[in-house]
Amino acid sequence: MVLLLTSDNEMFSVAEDVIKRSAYIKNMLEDVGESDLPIPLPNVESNVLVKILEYCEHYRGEPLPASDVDPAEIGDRSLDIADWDQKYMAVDQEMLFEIILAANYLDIKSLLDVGCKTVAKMMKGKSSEEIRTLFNIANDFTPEEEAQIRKENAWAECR
Amino acid sequence: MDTMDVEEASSAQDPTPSVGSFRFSSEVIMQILRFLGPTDILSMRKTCRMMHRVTKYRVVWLEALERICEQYGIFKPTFPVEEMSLLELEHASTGPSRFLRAAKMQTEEECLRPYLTRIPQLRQARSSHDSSSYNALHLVPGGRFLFTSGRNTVCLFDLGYNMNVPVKPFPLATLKDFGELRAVAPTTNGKELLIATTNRTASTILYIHQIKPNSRPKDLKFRCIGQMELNGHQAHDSISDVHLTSTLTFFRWNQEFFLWNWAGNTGCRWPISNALSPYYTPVSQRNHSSMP
Repeated sequence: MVLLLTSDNEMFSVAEDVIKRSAYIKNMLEDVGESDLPIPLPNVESNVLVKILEYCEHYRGEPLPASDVDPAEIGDRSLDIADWDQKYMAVDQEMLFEIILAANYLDIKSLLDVGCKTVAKMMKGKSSEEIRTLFNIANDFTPEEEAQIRKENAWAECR
Repeated sequence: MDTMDVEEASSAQDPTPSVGSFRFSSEVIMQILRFLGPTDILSMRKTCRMMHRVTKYRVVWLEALERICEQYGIFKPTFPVEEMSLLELEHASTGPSRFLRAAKMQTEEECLRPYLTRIPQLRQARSSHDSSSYNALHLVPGGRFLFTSGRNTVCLFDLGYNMNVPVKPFPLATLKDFGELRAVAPTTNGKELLIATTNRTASTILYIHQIKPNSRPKDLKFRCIGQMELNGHQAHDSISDVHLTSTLTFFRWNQEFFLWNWAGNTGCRWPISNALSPYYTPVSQRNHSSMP
């Protein structure tokens, strides 16, 4: 078993083959070896870790992705998401973003991809104003900058 | 870490507290952009400063262009990405969607007007003035490389990857005495082009040649990588319906269909009205998984 300590000081005891889906923890276990000390996760809260562990538990036993994958490889760029993953991602936006951040931090490639696909699907075909509303992004351009950007990118809209 | 703090940014302009927390690092935003098409990336650019900055990264557009090439079957060496500016990469990536949009607009008027008209004066050689003796033209998807065929000569021309690049009037490479061009396909690695030509003299011969169009001039040569002689039939029969993939050729000849795996030199033929029957003895099983 591996001990994990979340940012809000909750201790989790997790089976090694479950948490090894996180390349970050897998590497750490390989570097440090057997240890009774908990691994601190200062960027992950307990409610998010519960959700992350649900994912790792579901895919327990599935082969881990090869570590020598060429990052330049295009790979799967479709927006198809497996049924279970879709249900898993049916959470509020706050949690969706937390999952993505945690998957990035813990280096769980497949989960990061599913999270990014979910966000990309929400954005697809939307105008910049609609994207701002959807994700509550503040428009921090000055009116001059905005006019300039509009002008710079006008070629993409002209027919 | 390079994070975007929406709450802090919004407090300066907007007194209502922000409920969302789109506070991703540029690294995570780039992961999201990998799943978006060029038009959506440009919409992202206009949302805020952080997105504006990330969507100006060259790597974002290099990857976007690569995805577009795969999606639309564009021959990747069309674009010399190393020497292209960011704006050129953006133009190239959005090309297919802009073209489709323009085409949709125009078909409402029931005619498709040319986007741009160029009249390149293509010549087979510096000494030649005749540019109109082609029986066949084949434009490689992407629009940069053009094959012409006529008088037992196949030429490969470089039309340039955008309209600001002048057309090179002389061929990059010429293939003489291997007959007329019948089909063109990219290789499996997407870096080279394959052409099928047929020559009719005493017998009919189908040739497969390979060329790497963006190699150095001295290496720009057609290389013969397969040939098949067809005889025992009447001389007036001609090959038709030639199709080419990275490993296979399909064609019709004298009331028969032929499927030839030139890479493994295996194949079969069958009468047009009959069932499949073995023709060549298979010497190799490889590449069979890639048969369509």
